[in-house]
Amino acid sequence: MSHNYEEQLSQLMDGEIEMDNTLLTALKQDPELRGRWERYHLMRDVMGNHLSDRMDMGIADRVAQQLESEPTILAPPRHRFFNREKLVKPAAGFAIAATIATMAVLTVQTTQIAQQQTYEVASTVNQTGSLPRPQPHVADFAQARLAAERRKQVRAVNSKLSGYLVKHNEHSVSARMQGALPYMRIVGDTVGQRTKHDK
Amino acid sequence: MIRLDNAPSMISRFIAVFALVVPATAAAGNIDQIQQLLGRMQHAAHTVSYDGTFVYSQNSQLTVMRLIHGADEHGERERLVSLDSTGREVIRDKNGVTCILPDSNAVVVEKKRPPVQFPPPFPEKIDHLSKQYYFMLKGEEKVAGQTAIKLVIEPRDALRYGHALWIDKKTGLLLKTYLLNEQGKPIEQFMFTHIKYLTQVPDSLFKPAVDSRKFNWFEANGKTTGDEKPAAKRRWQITKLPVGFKRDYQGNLNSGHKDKALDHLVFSDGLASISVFIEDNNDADHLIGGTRMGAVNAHGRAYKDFHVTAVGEVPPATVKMISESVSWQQQ
Repeated sequence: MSHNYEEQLSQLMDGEIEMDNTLLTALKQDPELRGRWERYHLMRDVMGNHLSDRMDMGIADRVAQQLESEPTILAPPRHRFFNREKLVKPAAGFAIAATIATMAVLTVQTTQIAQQQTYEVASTVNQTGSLPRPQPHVADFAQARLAAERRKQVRAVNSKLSGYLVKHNEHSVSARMQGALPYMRIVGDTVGQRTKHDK
Repeated sequence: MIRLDNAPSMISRFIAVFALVVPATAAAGNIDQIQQLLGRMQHAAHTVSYDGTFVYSQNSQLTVMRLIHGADEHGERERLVSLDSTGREVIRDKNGVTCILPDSNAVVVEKKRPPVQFPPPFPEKIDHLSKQYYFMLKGEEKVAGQTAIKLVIEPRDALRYGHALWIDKKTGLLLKTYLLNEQGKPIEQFMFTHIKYLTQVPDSLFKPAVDSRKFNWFEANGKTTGDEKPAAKRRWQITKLPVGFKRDYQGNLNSGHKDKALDHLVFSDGLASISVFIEDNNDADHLIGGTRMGAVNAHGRAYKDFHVTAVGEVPPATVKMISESVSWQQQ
């Protein structure tokens, strides 16, 4: 594997260059280069705490399992919560209930975002015209990267919406009927409850 | 002298006039009764002590929780316990809010209470609300073994949701409530299945069920998490608001980014509330289009260099309409 390809992979990861035919061919032919490509993705995802559930490399699984066995909060006790950077921080630095909402691993259905990103990738390929049809393993890399990007985006949107929901509930008239209702809404807002409606 | 051939028409007119006058008179009586009932409900929410179990559902999700509320010489105290496998608890008292999250081995404490009076005064004058809603007393029903008065609040248009409330006849406590969508179907339900009124709540009932000492403790910094600054200098206008909605509040929030402001505007018709958040950037991590969070709908869109998100317990069409009508007001 040449040093040139390493550098190109690094630049590709940073979004400084785009995938070209030469690099694509090198990836297909050089298992070591593919391994490095995988590790770059994995490192980035682990560092960003955005492990993709679509990554099926052995090392990804092992790291994911290890992370899952850890508590959600990795900081030592008595740290100031909002100084932490590992946890997705509430977008608006909202109050305590935002913390619950964030920890509830809220999900917005991502169909729309996923479709949009797939379209963007497809457009790129079509416009260049000269790119060969990606081999399955290369397509997997692209999918893994897309999935990681999508999850990152969804987490950011969720985090922001959680904060908005909490802040809205503090002003909601419903709270005037039953004081605990905003907290019920937050505690009851769990995985899979959010649904996308029409744009 | 009344001509006989005119009699049917006279009777019809009389019936028509009677039909117009009598319900209006009855409604006036009802308005006083309803106003009093809602006032009692608001008062009871802060002053009645009880230990109850309730079910809370939004969409198809059902959660069972225990709610213990005390109002005595210690002030108002409340403990909300999720009875599902997470075992989460929220304890509120005069010192602040403590969230115990056994599923995350974490405890989060916020010593400072939310800056907004919680809950705010309710209700507004019914005669004002009755321009946008029909108020109907629907007799009495049993809820959690208690006799409750049923009150249905039906919107006059499709831009807001309706409510059905069951209020304890004896104590005034809200025992059951439905939030009703445009088709009149419940989209959020809260109902006590068991309630025990108490004169004195033992301190032990306000202690968490789990030993949280081994958990990771975090202290939310009130200064950076809850503060809202006074009204912004920036001026926004909402050109399409449902009839009866007016601006209740405007403030700035900490966006989490030092150079990026976040404006928060709240609009209300006295029953439904809609928040509009306007953030000072247009990054990718924003909601585009609509989404539903239980009973609450949200709609986001980009506007110039800003991002607008409307959030409220109103139909999707309403948050969409409001989100899309936000514009910069030229000074």
